[in-house]
Amino acid sequence: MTDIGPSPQSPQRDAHPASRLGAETAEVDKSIRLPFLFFILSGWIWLLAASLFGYLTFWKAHNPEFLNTHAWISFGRVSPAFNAMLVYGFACNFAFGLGLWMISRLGRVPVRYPILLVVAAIFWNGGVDIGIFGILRGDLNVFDYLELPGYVAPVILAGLLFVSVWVILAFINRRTDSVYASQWYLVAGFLAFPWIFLITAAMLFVYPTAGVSQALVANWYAGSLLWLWFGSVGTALLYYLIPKLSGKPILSYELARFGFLVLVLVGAWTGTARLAGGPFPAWIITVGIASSLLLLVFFLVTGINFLGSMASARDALSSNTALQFAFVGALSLLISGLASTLLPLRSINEIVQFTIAWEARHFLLLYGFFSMVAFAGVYYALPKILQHDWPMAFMIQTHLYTAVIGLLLVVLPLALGGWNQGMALNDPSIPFVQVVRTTTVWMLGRSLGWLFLIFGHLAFSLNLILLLVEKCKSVCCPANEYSTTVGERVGS
Amino acid sequence: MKKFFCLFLLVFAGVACSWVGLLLIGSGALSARKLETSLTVAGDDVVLEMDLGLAARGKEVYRELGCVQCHTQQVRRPGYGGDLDRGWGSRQTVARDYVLQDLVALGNRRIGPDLTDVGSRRDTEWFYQHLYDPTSLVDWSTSPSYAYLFYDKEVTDETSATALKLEGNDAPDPGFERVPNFDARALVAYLESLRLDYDLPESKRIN
Ligand code: HEC
Repeated sequence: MTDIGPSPQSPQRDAHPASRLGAETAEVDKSIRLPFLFFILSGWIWLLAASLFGYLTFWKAHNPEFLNTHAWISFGRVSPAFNAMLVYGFACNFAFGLGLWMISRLGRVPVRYPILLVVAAIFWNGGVDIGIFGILRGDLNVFDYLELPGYVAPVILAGLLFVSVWVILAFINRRTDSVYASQWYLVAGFLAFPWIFLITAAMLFVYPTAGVSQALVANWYAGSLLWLWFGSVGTALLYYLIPKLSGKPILSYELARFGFLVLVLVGAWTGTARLAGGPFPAWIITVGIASSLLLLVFFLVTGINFLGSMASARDALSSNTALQFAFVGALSLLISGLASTLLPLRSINEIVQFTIAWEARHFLLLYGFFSMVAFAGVYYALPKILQHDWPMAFMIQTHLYTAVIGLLLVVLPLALGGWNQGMALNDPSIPFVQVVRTTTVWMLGRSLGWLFLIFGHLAFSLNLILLLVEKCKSVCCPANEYSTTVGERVGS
Repeated sequence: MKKFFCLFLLVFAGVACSWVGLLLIGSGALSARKLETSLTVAGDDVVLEMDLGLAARGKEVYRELGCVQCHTQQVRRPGYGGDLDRGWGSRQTVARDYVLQDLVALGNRRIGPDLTDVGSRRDTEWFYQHLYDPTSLVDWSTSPSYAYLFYDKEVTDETSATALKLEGNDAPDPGFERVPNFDARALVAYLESLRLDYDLPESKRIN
C-alpha cells in the first residue's frame, strides 16, 4: 500500500485515447455500461419518488391534515417510506453503480458477465419495491434505517451479495501493482455492508430477542451503515474524483491511510451513542460516545486532506461544476462529522436528544455529504461511460446552486430549531403545545429547502433524459456527432 | 490477494469486535434470562407481564401506523432532561421494563409527548376523541387525525359506550353513531396499558 490516490498524471493520460491506458479505461467503461446505467437509472427513479414522498412528509409535519385520508398516506407511513427510498433506493443504487465503476477502473479490469449485475440490480430494486409497498400497507418496522419489512431482507441481501462479490473479485483480479486509497475504502464498504446487514437481519427478524436489545442492534446497524457503508463509499469517491477533476494529487497519502484505519476500526462502535439516557447499562452508551470521539480523527484527517487538496486547485474548483459538487460533499462530511461527535456528548445530548437537531445531522450526512459526492461522480462518470457529453452544462450549475440553497434551508433550521426545541422541552414551565408550535415554524424552513432540492433533481432529470435521447440518436445516425465543449466543464 | 487479506482482516476486526463486544455481550445482559421478571420490591410483589389480548394487537397497530415517528416510549432519569418534570413518568425506565416486549418502540423523536405512562394520564374517552380529532382537545396540535379508524353505524337498542360525542356539521346522520373500528379499539386498549405505576429495585418512583 504505497501508492495512494490516482496519480496526478492520470487525468492527462485518460485524455489520450491512443495510449494503452486510455484504451484500457475505455474498455472498462464500455464493459460496465449496462449495469452502471441500470443502477443509476434505478437510483434516479427512486430519487424522483423520494422527492415526492419527502415533500409529503415535510409538508404534513406542519399541515397534519394535508392528504390525511387513509393510513397508507398518513405521516406515520410516508415518513418511513421516504427515508427508505432515499437510503435504499437512491443512495444505495448510486453507491453500487459508482462503486463498481471505480473498482473496475482502478484495477483496470473490465467487468465480466455484466448481465449478472443487472440481475443483482433487479433483486435489490425488486426487494426495495416490495419493501416500500410493504411500508405503505403497514408492514413497517419501528427502527430508523430499518423501516423496510423483514421479509424483503433475503431478496435485497441476495442483490447486495452479488454486487459485493463483483467488487471484491474486481479488486483481487486487478491488473495494477499499486493500490489506491479509493480501493481500500471501496473494499471495506462492500465487505462491511452485507455483513452488518446479515447480522442485523438475523438478530432482529430471524431470531428476534425480546426487550431493549432490539434497539441496541438497530442502533448498532444505523451507526455502521452510516459510517462503514456510506462513509466508506463516499470517501472512496472523493479520493477518486478530487485528483481526477482538479488535476492535483491528494495532499497526503499518510493521512488517507490513517483515516482509513480509524474509520474501519471505530465506525461500527459509534451507533449506540444515540441511546443516551435510554434504558441501557451506562457502559453501552459510554462506548458509543467514546468511539464517536475517536471517529473525530477520521473526519479531521479526511476533511483536511480533501479541502487541502482542493485549496491547491483553485482554478479547477472555480470552473468545474462536478468538483464543486465534490467540494460541498467534502465540507458536509467535515461538518456532519463534527456534529456526530458533538451531539452525543452527554451534556449536549441532554438537550438535543429526541429533537430535530439529529435530523439535521442525518440530512447533512446522507444528502450533503453522500448524495452530493454521488452526483459529482455521476456527472463525471456518465459522459465517459456513454461517450457522450451532458447536453446542458448550465443545468448542472442550476442543480448545484439549488442543492446548496436547499441544503442550507433544510439543515440550518433543523439544527437551530432542534436546539430550541430541546431547551424548551427541558423547561417544564413551557407548555408542550408551545414547544410543538415553535418547532413547527422551524420545520417550515425544511419544507422550503426541500422544494429547492426537488428543483435540483428536476434539473438533473432533464439533463439525464436529454443525454439518453441524444445518445440514442447518435447511435442511430452517427453523423450527428456533436461538440465536446460541455465535457470540459465537468472535467473530462 | 495479500492486500485483500489485510483489508479483510481489518474490516473483520472492526465489525466482529463490535458485534461481539456490543451486541452479544449487550443483549446477553439485557435479556429475560438475566433480568428477573417477578420480584419483591420493598415488600410489594411485582410481576412484569407481556402485552396480551387486545392490547397486543394494539401494539401492532401502533407499529403499523408509525406512531414511533413522533413519539418515544422511554423516560430519562431525574436530572437528565425534563422528562419527569413534564410528568411523563415518576421514575426513569430501565431495561427490565421492556424485557418481555416483543416490539420495543423506544423511538428517537419527540414531536409529540412521551407515551410510556400515558395510560395514567388520559382515559378512554380522551384517547378516542384525540385519535378522531386532535385539535378538538388541544389547539395547535400537529398530531394527525386518525378519523379513518372510525365508522358510522346505525344505533340499535342504545348508543355504544365508545361512540364519539359529536355535534354540529361533524355529527353523524340521525339514528347513526360514529364508533371506533377494531384497530382503533385495540390501539386504545394498548395506550391504556401504558403505565409506569410500579417500582423496580433499580428504579423506584419518586414523590
Ligand atoms: C406527526 C406526528 C405524530 C404522529 C405520527 C402521532 N402523533 Fe400523537 N401526538 C403528536 C403531537 C404533536 C401531540 C401533542 C398534541 C396533542 O396532544 O394533540 C400528540 C399527542 C398524543 C397523545 C396525547 C399524549 C398526552 O400526554 O397528552 C397520544 C395518546 C398520542 N399522541 C398517541 C398517538 C398514537 C397512538 C399515534 C399513532 C397512531 C400517534 N400519536 C401518532 C404528534 C404525532
